[in-house]
Amino acid sequence: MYSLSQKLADIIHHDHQLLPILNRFGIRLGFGDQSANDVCKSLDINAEFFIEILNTYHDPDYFPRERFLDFPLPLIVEYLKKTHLYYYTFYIPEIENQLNTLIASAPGANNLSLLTRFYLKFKQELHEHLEYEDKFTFPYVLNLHTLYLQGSAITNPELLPVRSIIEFEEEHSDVDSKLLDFKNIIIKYLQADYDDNKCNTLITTLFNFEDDLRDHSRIEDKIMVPKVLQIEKLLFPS
Amino acid sequence: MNTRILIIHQSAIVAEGLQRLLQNSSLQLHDHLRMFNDPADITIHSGSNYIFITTSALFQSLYKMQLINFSESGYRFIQCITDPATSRDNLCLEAIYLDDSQNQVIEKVRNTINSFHPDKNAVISSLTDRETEVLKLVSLGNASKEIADKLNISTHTVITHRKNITEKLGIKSISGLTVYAILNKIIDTDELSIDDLI
Repeated sequence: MYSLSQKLADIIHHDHQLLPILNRFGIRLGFGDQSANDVCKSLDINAEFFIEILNTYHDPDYFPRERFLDFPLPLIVEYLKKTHLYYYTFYIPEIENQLNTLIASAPGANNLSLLTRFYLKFKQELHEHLEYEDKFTFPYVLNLHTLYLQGSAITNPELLPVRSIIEFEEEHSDVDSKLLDFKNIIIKYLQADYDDNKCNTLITTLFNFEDDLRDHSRIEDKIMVPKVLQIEKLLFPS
Repeated sequence: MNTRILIIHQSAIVAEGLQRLLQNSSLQLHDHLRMFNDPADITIHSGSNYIFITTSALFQSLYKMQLINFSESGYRFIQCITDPATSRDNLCLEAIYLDDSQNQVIEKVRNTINSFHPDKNAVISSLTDRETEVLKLVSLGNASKEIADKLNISTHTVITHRKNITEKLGIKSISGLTVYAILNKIIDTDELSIDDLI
């Protein structure tokens, strides 16, 4: 468990997997001996939220639900959006590059091209899922939050796209299980004369991506959705 | 199918102690052993067996309903009893006591793990002929209803076959199953375009 008074450099030395999280908050390297708190202050980052996100990412068993429910929705949505951006700009193209490198290492192996087909299908579904959330779910959540702040009850609910956040959030498990299938096909069933190190690199990336997605879904399903449901209850006269 | 063990106990000493004890056992748990303070924080992964080692207090709490649901889903409970005056809840298969030895604790957990596989001699790795047939039809894009008609069996039976296939192979999605079928030459791609299948 990390605390705000610790040097951010020490935290990264202890768990370098946290680097992308720093970037999502707009923190770049070169912060010298500053504490996590000081770095956050200088960049106008909500330090409490930052450290809780770091800790949940670092330790899959740590998830302070009550604590998270206290943070405002726009802060949570902003973080989720940044996470999406990271998937678009890093993981999705990176996995594709590593897959192509792997395939190039075994020119004669036809069955490797099956992986590409499968990956493209997975990528398409993931894209659709992320885009849907960016285009519909997040704006809905933010709108609802604004209405809540204004204290205005919804007088004509038929103008809202849906009656509940529940209608938006259904599809996580499909994306998760495809990723698991992808890993299993490579680990258990694929036999080809490829470069072992290139394959290990790809598998490591897939495991990291899976962890990141799990953490991301956890924040959506256990924090964002329950918070929105609370507001919906207040705003929609049933 | 892997078995995940979740320890839910408010006492850090008990929870950490149990975790340490089980990690040092010959049980192959690896990363399938986790500790929680709050049952609401638990994420259930489909396709795993679950064993909950829990504090007695949980059975008197608001979470009782959720525990009953878990129990109905086939998950197992071991009650960790720190107060000798407490008796074992009916949901629990076993109870662990504070003065149990390490061997006793491990034995109880092992019994619980084994209860998921009553027929230990059954080899569950390769597909049966029927399952291979079903896999082939799934890969070719048939829905369960169509498969039932083609094989002259009930839709319910097809769904059971599909569940078993997924469990044995560790592959859930249709496109994943199709990749498996092609890799293992269960379907012939000379006559079919791969683009249409995956």
